[in-house]
Amino acid sequence: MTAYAFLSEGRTSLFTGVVWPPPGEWLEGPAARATTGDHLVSWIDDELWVCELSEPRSEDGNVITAERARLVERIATWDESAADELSAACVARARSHAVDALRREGSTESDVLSALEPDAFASAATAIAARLPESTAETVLFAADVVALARGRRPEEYDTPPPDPRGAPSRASITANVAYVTAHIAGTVHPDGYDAGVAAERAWQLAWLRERLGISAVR
Amino acid sequence: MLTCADVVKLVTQYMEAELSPDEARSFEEHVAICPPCRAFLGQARRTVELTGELKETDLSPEVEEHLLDAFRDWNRPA
Repeated sequence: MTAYAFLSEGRTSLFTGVVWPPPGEWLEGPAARATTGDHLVSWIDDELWVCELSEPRSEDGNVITAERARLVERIATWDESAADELSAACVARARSHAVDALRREGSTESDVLSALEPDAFASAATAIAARLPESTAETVLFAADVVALARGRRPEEYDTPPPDPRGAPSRASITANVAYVTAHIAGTVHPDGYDAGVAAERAWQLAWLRERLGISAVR
Repeated sequence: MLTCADVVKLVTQYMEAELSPDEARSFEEHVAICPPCRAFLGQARRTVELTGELKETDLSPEVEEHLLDAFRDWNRPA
């Protein structure tokens, strides 16, 4: 069976710390796990590999485990640039969700926010949110937080000097965070409820990832 | 979804495979999307690796006595 494995730098499993052997060599034990092409956005990490899983396999939600697994080839189109592009797309989506929520309430602030670039949006969000009803204000502030998170910064650190690059989170781990928070925002504003909004946003992110990386919908 | 505080509380049980499958999955889903918790898990794993390499003979008598003193008083009611 062919599946996908998102790994940290150096073919390292995020959860076990195990370094996968070079492509073609089998890995045995609890680290022999992967995911399907339907659940990639749940496990975004530095490296994306096509892998092969032995029989018997066990599939539980978004994880497939097997007695043995081996890497087949790295998907080279998933790199820091692709991660940054997905982050930027999520920043724009988060702002779009906030603007849509304002429009549904008939707020005139929606036109102001929709015209701003991410930095200006993040700077203006607090003042604009202060004039909004609580639920919409929270959405606008979350969307502003995403701008900071996409830079690997906590929202309260947005205007502080850049952090020490040593030990800084990887671009892909930042993207995983940004994509999750954007899905949360989509959930809070979706007319059919939180779960529907999160699912719709995750589906959009998956479609983006597949198209960008040239991965087919078939496992 | 777990919180960062939950991850801190559960990290030892996670690394020792003592969580239920559902708990372990929730733990992993949080770590996957939280850069600070990713770093924390890596540090916890590294700490276990390093302390696992220590032998009794690696400790000087002074350090050993200091540690024994600390553990004798640990959790003692005030």
